[in-house]
Amino acid sequence: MFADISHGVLVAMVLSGATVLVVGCYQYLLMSVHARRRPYAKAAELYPRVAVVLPAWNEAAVIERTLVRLMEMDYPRECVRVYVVDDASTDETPEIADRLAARHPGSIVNLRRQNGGEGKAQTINHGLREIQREGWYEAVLVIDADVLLTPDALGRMTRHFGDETVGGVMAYIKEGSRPAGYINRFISFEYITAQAAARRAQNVLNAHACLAGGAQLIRRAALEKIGGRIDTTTLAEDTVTTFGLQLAGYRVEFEGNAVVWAEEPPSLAALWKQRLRWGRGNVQVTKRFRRVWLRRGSAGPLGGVGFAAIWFSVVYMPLFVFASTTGLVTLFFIDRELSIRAFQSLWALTGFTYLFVTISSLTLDAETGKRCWREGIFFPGAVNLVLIAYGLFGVLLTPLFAATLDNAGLGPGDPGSAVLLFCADIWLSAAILAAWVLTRLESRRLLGRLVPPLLYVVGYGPLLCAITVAAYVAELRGSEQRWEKTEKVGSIGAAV
Amino acid sequence: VLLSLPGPMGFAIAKRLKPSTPSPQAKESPTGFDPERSERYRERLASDASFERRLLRREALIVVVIVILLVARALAS
Repeated sequence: MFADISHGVLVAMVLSGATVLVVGCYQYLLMSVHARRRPYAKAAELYPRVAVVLPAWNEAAVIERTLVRLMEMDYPRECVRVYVVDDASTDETPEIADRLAARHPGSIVNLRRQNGGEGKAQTINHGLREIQREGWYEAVLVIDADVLLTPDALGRMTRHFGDETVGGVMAYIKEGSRPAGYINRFISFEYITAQAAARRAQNVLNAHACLAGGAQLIRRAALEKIGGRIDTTTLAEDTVTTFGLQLAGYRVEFEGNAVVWAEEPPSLAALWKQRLRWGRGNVQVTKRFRRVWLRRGSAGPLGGVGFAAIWFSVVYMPLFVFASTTGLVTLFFIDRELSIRAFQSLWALTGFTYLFVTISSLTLDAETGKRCWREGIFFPGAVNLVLIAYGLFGVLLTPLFAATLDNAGLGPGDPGSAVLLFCADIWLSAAILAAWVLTRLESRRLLGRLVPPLLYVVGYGPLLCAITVAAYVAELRGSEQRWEKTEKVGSIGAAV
Repeated sequence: VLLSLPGPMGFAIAKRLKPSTPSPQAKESPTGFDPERSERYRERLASDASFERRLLRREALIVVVIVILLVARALAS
């Protein structure tokens, strides 16, 4: 009896390794019914006065194009006022902002802080104080200095304010670097899943994790209700704002057809730095809003089971992976036969969910999918793809190749097959370590050249998991909380 | 619709307007009602709503294909 229970627990631990993908499937199924909630039922042709707050610190490479794009939007010019909040830049950012302000008087305002360096959140708050003092605005759009809005993006966002319960709207941020490096292409695919799909699903749940800081539109009344400023105590100020709006009774809406382009990190080191900040922010938010989780009565849709599943499948991703490996390794030593069956079940489950999520993603945004389909396929890594293939077809193929496996010393009972099985059992966790090693090798002259192909072998998913582990470690160690800016070089393609 | 009324009050009126219907305030506003922009607005709304509707059919098709694969594998093993 006890053995049955313990074996059952171990098998459940093994299968928990597929949690992220299973929850991913749940999100895609939710996304498919997005139209049924009639997202445009209360949309209205509205052009409220929008104050664009654009925090800038040494953005000379990108800011001019961003400002020019803002002036070219298909939106009444007199209803847009851009506030460049220059955080004491030491490059040509203030000169560029001044020049464009002179070219567009009344439409672009340069708010220069002489004493900067307090971080993005403080810089945004400086801009918010100024626009509230003027009182002209009806909505505020916070964007990053490198973000390029498509001409119709703002109009597509403001139409949701036809519903007075909507307090915030976010756009679909797409990776725009051209030529796009391999990291940029992985990010492009990731953004289809994490934004275009996941945020439509969150629309359906009426609960959103994050109004992405790169392009968030907030209604004036909603901003005032959360205190008129954004949080400065965590590394996830946009997530805190999003939670605050929803807990204040407003809905947040993702508008997947309003596209904005952003320049994302081109290297593993830059990606690590950016995502570590995001990861630590998520850990902080999890703790800060501990009274929200699974309390639908008091927290509304944010406290729902569906939203908790989405949030914790990401935040606790490493725990699921380690639990899965622990289960497999334990079964390997106490019940080899069950270990093999659990292994096959894990990878069959992973395989079907992977197929569903990958095909859905590549068809959801086919334009982006054409650029990053290889990265979509290799998102879990080549080794994991082999294990997925084994999970899906191993039962069918193993008997066909029985003789070949026997000759190679990998037949049932051979020591070689046991070693191979053990290596496969621990790979899910070992891949996280391997991804971390790749980030260390990137700066080496010779070994660094191997990093791009090796990332396709190890996988981008394990890399994200490694960053989440690092975020926990940094939080547990109480590492210094710094706002480290992601360098922007103006690589967004001319055509976007 | 551009409203010349200050602050959230402008919103309060705007939200009661039907899509694409110019309000008296809009006609008198500095911008004025722009029929071309309104036409573009309607086209985008129709196109976006159509895209969202197609998602259900597309996902249903993918689910059917995956389920067929799943059943085929189960039968074959």
